[in-house]
Amino acid sequence: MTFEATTGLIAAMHVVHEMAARAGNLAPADKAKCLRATFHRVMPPLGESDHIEQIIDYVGGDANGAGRTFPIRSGITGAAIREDEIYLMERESDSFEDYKKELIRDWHYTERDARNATSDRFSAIAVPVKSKDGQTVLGVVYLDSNQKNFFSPQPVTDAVVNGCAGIAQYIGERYV
Amino acid sequence: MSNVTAVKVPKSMIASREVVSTAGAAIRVVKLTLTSEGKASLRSKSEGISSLSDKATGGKKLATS
Repeated sequence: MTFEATTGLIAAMHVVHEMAARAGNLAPADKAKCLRATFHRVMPPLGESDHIEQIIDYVGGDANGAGRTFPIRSGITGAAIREDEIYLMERESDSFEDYKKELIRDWHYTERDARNATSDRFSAIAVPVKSKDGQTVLGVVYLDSNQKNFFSPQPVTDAVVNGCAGIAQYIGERYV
Repeated sequence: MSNVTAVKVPKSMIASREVVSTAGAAIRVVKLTLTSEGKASLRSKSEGISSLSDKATGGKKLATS
């Protein structure tokens, strides 16, 4: 994977990040540490794949993560792809241990995946992007935050979904 | 004369929200269902992408594994 091949996608993700930050009234000084956004593609062969791959670093946070793979069976990204619906996660408990246990028990994380989960993420949203014929999910836009219920208010959800519509358009222009 | 300009707010593309996690869970999960317009908006022009090949580099694949 080349840097040039994903720079446009990174730029598009910056726009979605900014839209969500503004809709959620994040102060400019806080938005980088409070909010992260990235894109996972479904690894080929589509329709038969059991893994997704994070193909760009996070916009926001520590700007890392590209190249990681995750099973489609786990988490809200997997649910978004399997069911072709938007999934929103709100962490109710402050206990990281309770959070990890539930990731394993209910969201099909392995112990290692749960151990590697970021401890300060309290809300997240996963938005699937589909192919032209609407039959195949190509990937998922994923955002998370260290703030509770960040994505739940309607203006934030709408900003993310509207931004993701732009991501879908960009992917169609750039990739085959 | 007023300088106030009416701004049209885009209609939400979210049709409904459904809590899918169990009550009292540490993680509350909500499934959002899109309107038909929303579903259409999240479709890419790409069709049958098998490997996210990059048009700008002559079809060079990002990765094939």
